[in-house]
Amino acid sequence: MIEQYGPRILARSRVIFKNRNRQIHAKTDRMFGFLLLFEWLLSVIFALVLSPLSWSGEISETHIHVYAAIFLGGALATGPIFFIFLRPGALINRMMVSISQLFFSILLIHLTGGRIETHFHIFGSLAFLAFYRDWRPVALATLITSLDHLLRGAYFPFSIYGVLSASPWRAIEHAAWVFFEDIILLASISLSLRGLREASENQAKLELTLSLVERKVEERTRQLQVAQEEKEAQQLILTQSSKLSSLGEMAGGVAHEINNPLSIIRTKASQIRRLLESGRAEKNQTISFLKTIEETTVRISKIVDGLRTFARDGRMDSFSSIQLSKIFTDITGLCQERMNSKDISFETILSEDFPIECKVTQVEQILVNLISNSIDAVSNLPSKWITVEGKRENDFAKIVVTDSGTGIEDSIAEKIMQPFFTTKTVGHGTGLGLSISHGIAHLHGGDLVLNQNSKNTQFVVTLRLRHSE
Amino acid sequence: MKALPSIKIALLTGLGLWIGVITLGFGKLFIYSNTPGKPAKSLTYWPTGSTILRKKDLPTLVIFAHAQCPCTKATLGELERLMPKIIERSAIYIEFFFPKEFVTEKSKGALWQKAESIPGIKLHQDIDGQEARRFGAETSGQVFLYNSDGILVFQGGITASRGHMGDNAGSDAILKLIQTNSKVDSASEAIISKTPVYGCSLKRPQRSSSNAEALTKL
Repeated sequence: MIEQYGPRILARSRVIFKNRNRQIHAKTDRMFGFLLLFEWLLSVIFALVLSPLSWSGEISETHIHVYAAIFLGGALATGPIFFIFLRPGALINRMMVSISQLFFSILLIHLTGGRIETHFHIFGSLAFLAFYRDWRPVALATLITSLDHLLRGAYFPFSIYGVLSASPWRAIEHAAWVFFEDIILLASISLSLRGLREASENQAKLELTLSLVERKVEERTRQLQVAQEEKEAQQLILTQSSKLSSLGEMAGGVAHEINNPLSIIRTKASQIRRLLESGRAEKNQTISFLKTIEETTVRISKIVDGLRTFARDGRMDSFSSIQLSKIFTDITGLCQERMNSKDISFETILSEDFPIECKVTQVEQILVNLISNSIDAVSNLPSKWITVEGKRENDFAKIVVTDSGTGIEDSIAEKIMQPFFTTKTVGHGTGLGLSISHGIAHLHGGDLVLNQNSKNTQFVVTLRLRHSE
Repeated sequence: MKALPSIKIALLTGLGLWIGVITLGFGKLFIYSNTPGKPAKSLTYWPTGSTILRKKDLPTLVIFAHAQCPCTKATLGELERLMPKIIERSAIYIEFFFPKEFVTEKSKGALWQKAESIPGIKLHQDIDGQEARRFGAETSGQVFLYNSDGILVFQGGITASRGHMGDNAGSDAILKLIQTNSKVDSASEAIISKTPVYGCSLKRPQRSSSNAEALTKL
């Protein structure tokens, strides 16, 4: 996946390598800061213990070693520390530290009277300088040692080899041991840098992979969001279709429901007309007829209102508070005639009325779907009844729709909430009613379940009472 | 050409100064370390009146040391290295300079103890440097080697520089001379090997003497 990004990885790995190297240099600078201070202190201790005084007969004075340890050692330590403090990780620090370390070797060897053990300070310093993972400070330290030996060997052989004339090979012999260590140190630096370079490249690859994956995830998420939005839009269309389907099923009953009062109105109007034409119209009787007409129109109006509410596209509705009894009244108005026509007894039970925050048309859609299914299920049974019971349970409204059916087989029950699953004959059901109702119940923070423990067919709808918080 | 920013100029100046200070300091230290003490006024024969008993059948090695001189520790270190090779073939003495007023058991010091720990060496307290004057020794670490006939064959130091242990011409010469016993018929035929001596002065400096006199007058 990332092969095509070769130049980009290379550029990024170079930046990482440079940053890591700088961190190593700064960290090693700090380490040497403390080491130089320690070496300064050590020189002063050596001078005070080993050569505090120089003597001339019985007269003594402070030994030059004490001054050298304090002032020369101080200069060796504080010079690089100042630069380290000023610009941690800079090349100049490493070079100064290299010079300082080698001169500390010379000073310490001097203060300890040339003890062979103190000469190990040179080798230790070279090893410490390799901590920088840079060949330059090691090379500079080697150069200083070699020059010291070559120059002193040439001009003051006595001071270094203890003989008045030393062979040039002697300087080479001394330097060779330093080179011997250098070879190991430089090989180690090279290996370490190679490792660091590989680690930087791996990190660059990892970063790129992560960024590509992130981009892919973002792209996929966006696609999913679009798909989800499309699905939701589809769902809403289906909801509306399902509702219209239910509406179609009830249309006959509703028409009949409206037709009856219209007949009453027509009959009463006709009676009033005839009475007025014959001149036998009595005031009280006429008023009674008109009152009947008025009441009947109110009844029609209610039916139309319920129908209009149910048919309305409630997708954009907000949650509003409504008494549960009002919902029961609305659905009764919508379904009563259909049940009457099939000789089904219907009862709503509400021991206590209470408000519920919901999308009214959607909640009514659930109940109409359930009642509609019950009507279809019980219409051929010898005992035909449907009950809708509402009660409050803590923060939820619980609406139980029960019919005289004997329940649903498990094999069907497990698929019943799936979209497009229906047991009705073709043309009599979309298979979306329960799945949509289930979705609406979830939207209301509740659920729709089939109660298999009931001896009759029973669906339980729970809806959260409040949504404003 | 692009001009250097002032911060860089300041840093480079600081670096230059630092290198200058170090070079100067080490230069001074180098000069100090490699400046030998006053050479001995060497006598060709074993000095008369010396309290040191010279062996007639072996070369005799006499070292003069200031009991407090820190540089002489290196001389003792070198002597210790030489000892296994010369112990059977020579008599070895160390004369420790002690000012008269400092002669107590406690004041013998670390150098004396160090010398005491080396087997085969006879130690003497040279009160006020009387023996040193007899031999003409001026500087702590001064070594004299006389052959079995009492003729001086070597005089000088056995350290390469001040207080610095390590290979040195003095030790090499002594070893060679003792191994051959360097027999000569007369002092005029003797070739005296000489090396510089690094150490504290066995005598009060002239300036200090003047000061002391001035103080006495007051």
